[in-house]
Amino acid sequence: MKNSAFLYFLSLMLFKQKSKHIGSMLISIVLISLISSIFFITSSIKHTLLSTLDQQPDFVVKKSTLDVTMDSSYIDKIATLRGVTHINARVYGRYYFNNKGKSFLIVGIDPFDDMNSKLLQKIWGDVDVAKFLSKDYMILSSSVKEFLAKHFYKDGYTFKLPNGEFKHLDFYKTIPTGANLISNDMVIVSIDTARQILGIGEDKVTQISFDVPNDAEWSNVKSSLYEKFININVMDKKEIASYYDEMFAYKQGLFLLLYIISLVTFMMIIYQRYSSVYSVDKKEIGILRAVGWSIKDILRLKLTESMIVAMSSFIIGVFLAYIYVFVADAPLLKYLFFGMDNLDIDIKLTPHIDFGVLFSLWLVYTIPFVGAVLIPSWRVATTSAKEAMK
Amino acid sequence: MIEITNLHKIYNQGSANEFEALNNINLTIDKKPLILKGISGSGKSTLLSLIAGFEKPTKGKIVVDDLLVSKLPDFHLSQYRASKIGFVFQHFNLIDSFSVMDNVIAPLIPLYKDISHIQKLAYKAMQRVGIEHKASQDIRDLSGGEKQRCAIARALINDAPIIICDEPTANLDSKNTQRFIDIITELKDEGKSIIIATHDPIFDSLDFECDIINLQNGKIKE
Repeated sequence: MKNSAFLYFLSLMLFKQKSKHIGSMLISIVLISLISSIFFITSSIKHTLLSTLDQQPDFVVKKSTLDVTMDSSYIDKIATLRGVTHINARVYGRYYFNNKGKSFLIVGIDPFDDMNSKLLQKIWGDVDVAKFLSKDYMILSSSVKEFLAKHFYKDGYTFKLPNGEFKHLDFYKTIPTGANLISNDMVIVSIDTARQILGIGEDKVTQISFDVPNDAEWSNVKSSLYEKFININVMDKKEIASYYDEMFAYKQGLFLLLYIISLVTFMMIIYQRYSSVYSVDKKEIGILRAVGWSIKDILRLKLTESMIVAMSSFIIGVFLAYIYVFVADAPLLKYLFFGMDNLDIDIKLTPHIDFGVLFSLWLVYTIPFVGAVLIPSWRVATTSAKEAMK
Repeated sequence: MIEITNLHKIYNQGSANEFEALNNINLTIDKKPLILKGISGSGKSTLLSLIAGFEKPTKGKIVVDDLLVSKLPDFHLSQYRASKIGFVFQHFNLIDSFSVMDNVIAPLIPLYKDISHIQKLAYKAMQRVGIEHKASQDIRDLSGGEKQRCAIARALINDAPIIICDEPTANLDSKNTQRFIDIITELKDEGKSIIIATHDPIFDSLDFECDIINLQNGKIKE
């Protein structure tokens, strides 16, 4: 291998003529790192959201009218459906911070509830529930904490209640940054405190969640709910998962389109360069043909050469994208996915790579790249050596 | 032995700019060197290209050591060039970004697996033409004479029985021209078939016996 004549000559073609490859490598690296970053971000977000979804109940029932609250009696009615287990009431709602146009998502939970406790464990790990409920405490995201700190609320915040009274809550704990994707503007309080802050009465809830362990029963349960209640919206886990998919596929698709347009333009430039009538490449191929190289030898050399350039560009591009997304947390680009409309987002993207997508990207890049080099090389190699050397 | 029978080469056949480069060439080349003379456009380079298998004749036969070169498929034609032909081009046709050594080894890359063996052969070829001291120098840094010696070394590396030179002295000064003739004399003495296309008058008065053929408008001038 070390003394391979072919590899030696290949290294000459690559390193003695590096200026020929640097331009195409640089453009490739930029294109690949950009699109890989997009795929890494979406893949990471989707993975985090979907893994959170695993901890969520199978169904969530909401009101589809302007008044989002529903009667607590719905819970008992849902409980009568066959196959339904783990029914829970939830009190969620937005609390607007004075005139700043910013809002927090108030989440009222019953920490002793099994389903909530699983979700909370995922969000903040071990928590002393008894201590949390012993006083007026809140658990808040790092973004909410940072926002409040900017407004001089360092240890707690006083909420203005709908009845005109005030309620002060101390900060109990900050949700880890890793969970910010699902909890960036979240404030977790006990369900009773949430009712006070959001002005929701004892007999009202905003969501009812439940499980249906038998998958085959999902559609029956859903139909029964729509028959039983009016103006409700029933979402199951699969719908939420496909919603996540669609949401990111849309943005990913836009970038993929941009990538393909850039890639096609780039390949046309490469094709043009290799097809160029007076190019150095053409003369080289003519010389090699004249000294006894067959068309197969030429194509083998050009194929290996272009594969190495393509593979190096791809690996470097993907590596840079990995650093940019998972080490540097994708500055600038992440705002395209999270938006900047509410609180500043402080998200740590969890490394997760979809190798299927990466392999598709490799094919979408490599096949045109190698083709753009090989086709003109083959055309030159099949003409007479005398013509090619001119 | 090279036998050329009823050889024709027509470019752009059937189109308005049809051009007959060679017309009914009949020739036998053995051990005696052949000097092809004629003005530019007389068909010298075309004849060399056909013998070397760079292109195919429109009509006629070229037989080299019982091998019907004019009808060989591409793969066998490449093997023929690699094993039987050493070609020295007028403009050298070297890869400028490569060193002398790397240019000289090029013909043997598809034939051998071991690079060190090829480099040994290349070194011998370079020694023969006195360019071994420039082995690691890039082509673009060489003088015209040095480039030509590199091109000759490349033509010699495969120990081909046929050496073809197209206007070999066109870009050389008198000192390098004489040096080239000395190398050719040595190759002739080794029994190689040598074909030189030139219009340099120095080839009219060589010290060794050779056949001189004049080409005019693609035909052999009697």
